[in-house]
Amino acid sequence: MRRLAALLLAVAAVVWVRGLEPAAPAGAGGTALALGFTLLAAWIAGDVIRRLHVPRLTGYLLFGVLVGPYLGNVISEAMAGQLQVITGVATTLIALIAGLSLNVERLGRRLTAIARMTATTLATAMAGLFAFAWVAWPWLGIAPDATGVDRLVMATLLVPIVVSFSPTMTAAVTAETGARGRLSELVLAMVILADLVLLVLFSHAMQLARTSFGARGDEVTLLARFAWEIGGASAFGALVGALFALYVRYIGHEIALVLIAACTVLSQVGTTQEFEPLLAAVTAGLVIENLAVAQGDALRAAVQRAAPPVLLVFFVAVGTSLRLDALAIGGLVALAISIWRIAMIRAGVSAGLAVSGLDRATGSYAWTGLISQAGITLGFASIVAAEFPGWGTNVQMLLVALIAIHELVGPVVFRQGLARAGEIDPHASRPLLVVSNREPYLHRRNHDGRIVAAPATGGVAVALDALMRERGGVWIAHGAGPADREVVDESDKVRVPPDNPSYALRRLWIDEPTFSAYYGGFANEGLWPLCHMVDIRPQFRTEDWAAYQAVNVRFAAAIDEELASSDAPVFIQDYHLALVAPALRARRPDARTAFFWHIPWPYPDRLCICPWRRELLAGLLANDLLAFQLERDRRNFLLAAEEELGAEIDAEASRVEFEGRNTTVISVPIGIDFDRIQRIAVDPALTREQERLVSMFGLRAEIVGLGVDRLDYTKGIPERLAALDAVLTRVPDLRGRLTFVQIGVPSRSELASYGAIEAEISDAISDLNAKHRVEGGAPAVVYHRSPLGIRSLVALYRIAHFCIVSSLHDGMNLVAKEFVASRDDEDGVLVLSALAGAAQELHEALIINPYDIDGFAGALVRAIEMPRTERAARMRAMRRVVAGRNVFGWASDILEGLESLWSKPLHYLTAFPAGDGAAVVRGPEDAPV
Amino acid sequence: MTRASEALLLLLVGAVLGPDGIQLLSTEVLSFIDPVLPVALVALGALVGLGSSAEGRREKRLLAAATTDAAVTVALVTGGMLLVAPSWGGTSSVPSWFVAVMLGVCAAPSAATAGSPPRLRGGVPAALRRTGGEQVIADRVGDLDALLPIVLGGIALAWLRAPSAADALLLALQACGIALVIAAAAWLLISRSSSETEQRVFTAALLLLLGGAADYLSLSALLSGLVAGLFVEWVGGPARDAIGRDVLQFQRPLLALVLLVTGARVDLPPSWIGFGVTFLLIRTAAKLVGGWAATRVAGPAAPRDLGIALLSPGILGIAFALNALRAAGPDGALVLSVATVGTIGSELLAALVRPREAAE
Repeated sequence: MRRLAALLLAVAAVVWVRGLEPAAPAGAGGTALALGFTLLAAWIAGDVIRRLHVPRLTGYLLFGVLVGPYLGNVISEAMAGQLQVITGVATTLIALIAGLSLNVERLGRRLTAIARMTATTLATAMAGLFAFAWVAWPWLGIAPDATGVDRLVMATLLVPIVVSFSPTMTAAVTAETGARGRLSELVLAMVILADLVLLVLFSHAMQLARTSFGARGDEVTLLARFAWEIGGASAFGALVGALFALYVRYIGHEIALVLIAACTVLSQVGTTQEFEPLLAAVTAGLVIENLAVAQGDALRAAVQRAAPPVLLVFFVAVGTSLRLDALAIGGLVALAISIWRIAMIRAGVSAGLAVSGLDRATGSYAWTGLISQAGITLGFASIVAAEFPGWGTNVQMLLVALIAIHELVGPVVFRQGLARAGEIDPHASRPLLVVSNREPYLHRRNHDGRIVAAPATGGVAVALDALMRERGGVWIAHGAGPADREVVDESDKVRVPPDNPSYALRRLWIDEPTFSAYYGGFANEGLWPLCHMVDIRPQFRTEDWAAYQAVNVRFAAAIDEELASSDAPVFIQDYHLALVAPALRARRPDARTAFFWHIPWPYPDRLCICPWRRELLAGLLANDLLAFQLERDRRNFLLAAEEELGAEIDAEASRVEFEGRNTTVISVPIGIDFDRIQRIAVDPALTREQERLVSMFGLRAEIVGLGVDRLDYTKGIPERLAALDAVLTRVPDLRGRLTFVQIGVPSRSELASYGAIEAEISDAISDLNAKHRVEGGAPAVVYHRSPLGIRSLVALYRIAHFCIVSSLHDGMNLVAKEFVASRDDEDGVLVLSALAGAAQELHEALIINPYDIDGFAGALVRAIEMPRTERAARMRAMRRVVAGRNVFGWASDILEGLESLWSKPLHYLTAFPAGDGAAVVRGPEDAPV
Repeated sequence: MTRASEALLLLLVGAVLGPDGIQLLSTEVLSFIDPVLPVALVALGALVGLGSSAEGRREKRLLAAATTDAAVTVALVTGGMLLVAPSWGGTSSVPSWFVAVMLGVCAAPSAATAGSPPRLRGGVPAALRRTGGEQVIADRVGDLDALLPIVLGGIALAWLRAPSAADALLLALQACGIALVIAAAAWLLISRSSSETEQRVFTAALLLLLGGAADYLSLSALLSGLVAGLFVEWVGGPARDAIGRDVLQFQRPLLALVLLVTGARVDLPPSWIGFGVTFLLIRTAAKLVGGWAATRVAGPAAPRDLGIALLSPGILGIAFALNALRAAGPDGALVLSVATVGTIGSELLAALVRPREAAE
């Protein structure tokens, strides 16, 4: 109802505007108005259509047809013409997106097979259509009386035009549906190759027709023109692509803007220089994809931002341009040809698959992507009509009718094909099962007694929550909120998020003393210190191990219940749940599981401390995909699997074979939600939050440092305070002028080791403040022990001169990345421990050894005195790294990897070269506090 | 590189690429880009509206101070330009009062408006080292001093095409009504949408509809954007956050486009450069007086050198001039050229007189 009301309001506004007299002929104003109305109304139309289980893009096309000049005439012929101008840029963007999906390394191995398949498909389709044209000639309405050589020549010219495809529409459908996989790659490569071949065939057929019918023209000129169009376009596209790739790699600002500018240049220069803009744009995309691999996420994010409105306008414009009048005249003949064409293409694809040896499972749907026809077909038809005014005009009319059919049918069928190949889901629903100890929403009662849901703030939780919102499914987690039991149904589920329920959160109730033994005992007193190189002795107790096993079995049973008859992938999180997979496997041998181990994996000698290491290793190897933060962790795991279990390691394929099962083991670096932090950082209202924090903390020092941590002995907070003490002793002038803000949120306080570190930190801060107190000056340390939301954290990050991350050992530490993401002003210095995983990515930070207090203090002095230009240069370099890899890319890479283990290569294995520089991540335990 | 220098660079690039330069931005290409300009202006107006909530005594006081500063600047610059009006003569069919008022409007806004969203640069030192948050106050006054000029500019543009003052007011009110209806439609859609893509599409539609409507009627796109922004700010909620986020994202590329087009379109015969310099001098004097008056209204916490802090004009001045050009046609070229010269001059002047600490 709200959508209908909104639509009515928009219509009312447009009517009101048109009711007032324009001051002058309102060309441009009319265009913007029509475009705005089109965007709004077509999106709603697409949404309505989607609810009827019909693809959204069909809604756009039908909307275009309905309001276009040949039916509703709401968009007049002149306005439709203006829309076509805008779609020139849209077309190049679509082609560029198509090029971006062509990875040479992936395609390279299959290119010969694709060429064989294309040739066979073309040959079959052309032979079949030629036979049809010859037999049905009298009824085609082209030149019914033509016989013998004349008919032969006309049919020879007609066939390549009728067969021709539409790379634009193919690319547009894959972009709109977000399809990614072998079928979309195959079809895109086929249509591009086929249209290049058809260009040459058409030029020969034209020459033959000219010779037969005595028209002017010469083949050499035509071929030279095609060579210029194709060669020039490729060269120009490669140049633009290379420049863009360099821009993305070395500058990286405003990628969406530069992308649109590149498309405009390709479109404009292509038109003026008679290049084929489409080919130029595909080439540019191909060059960018293969030159700017490391910046892939930033580029994809820019494309995702720019593409949806552009695609919508494109499809509506296609709808408005469909010549329904031509369909009315020659509709039946066109329909017969269309049916035969599709049948022949389908037969050609089958033959092509047999000849090429390409995978039948996906390749058999390739015909669905070869139905659409558009610009190139129309271009051929126009040339024929111009050179042979009599029968050529009839050819043009027939082809216009064919295009109208294929533009309506092609995208819908192709979408179905992609869905059946598993590259998209027709109803946008690919349910997922996420399993973690910590839940994404905790329910509690607020001060007035109402139950409210508090979302988890950690980067990983936010990313997985976003993924679940999109895909739906079930998230299984331990119910830890005080009001959690009050909101669940009889199967312990509650729909979340509260404002827009999209998936089910199933809560598992783990009572005491089992929870303490499983979580506090085995997980946090045993595994946590085992995996972190700190002077805390891991505690392994038999009763904790028993609780850990029992809780993991309960999680597995819950997964089994939720899976029921579904084959949804299962994504298991972190070291609390290492034994879930074998327990699940016992119930569901066919379950597909991916496991992410967020914390470091110890080297084999240290792992020997754990009495149940073999069970842990075997448990993890019951997953299909096992992911670590760093290549170092992955390597340690593989060594341990080989030494402890005697598992077979296939280093090249990154696979471990154990007890007849294969597990792919990879390192996938995690990032942060860069865009979200960026949005908060640039919000003008953030100033008020900064003022509030300055007032709350009483910040009056001219230099502010910052540390944000969970209170954990791995974070190196005492070492940090010792270094600050050394700085204030070494440079007494800084007393009263420097304040260090330490945000430290207590966690696991019930464990002795954590209680001790909390007390140690409090005492050290008191001593520091007393020792360096200056009358009337700012305190040395401000200590805040409550969690802050992400907005407040970003505000604080932007206040700080420097931020310290001094972990003694850390998987990744996302605070380092959040600090960098917050500083779009390119200011601030990051002081980062070499023992945190993030140090392997953020080389421009001031890298310190937290055990070397003097060196640490020296780095702090350097951070304080660093000139503005150096700060900016370092921050700029780090921002490029952080922007290039976000948390959504991390999550989707793991899931795509899992989903494609049976059919596709692991994309990220090629995209992210192995090596210690690969990357690192922070686990949920490192969530912002 | 500071935002001011980025803006100057884009203006220069526009001039080089434009019809008087290498003609990459030829007259045909510029006419192709034309429909985007009112959309960019709407985005700027909407951002001003979204940042204009003035709750609490302190904020209301700052709003009063900003309005005082703007009113004084508009009055002094309009008066000053009217004095020199007889000397520009020319063939323009646009009345000289309109040119003077539009230049007054172009002179009023300051840098910390939508063109460069207010923020604390480099953390605490730049913003809060001065006791009482003086820089914060200067930034906030700079945010709010665009409101009055946008309203005045909107009425002036309506007057240009209406036979009488009453008709002009009625026309401006109708434009505001249309903007409110469009904003309400967008709010209805966005407030119930959880998909960022969908929200982005609706925000783009909102900007296009507002810009298209204003352009169709040759009225102020900035005023339409302001009204929509104020409405969204008033209703608040998640829709406000989503629209604010997306308008900000659209704003930067649109802003770059505005500056490029301005650079390409600016025509600078020597006499107009002379008017530009005159405009610069009058604006500087008016800003100093306006800043002094605003300090009186803002209270003791305001910096004493508020006028100097408000010297930098940002790009809203250029936006007003483009608005006039779109509405008045080629006859508005004088306003654009003079405002551009004035903006560049004011930026350079502001960079020269800005305290070293604030510059850091």
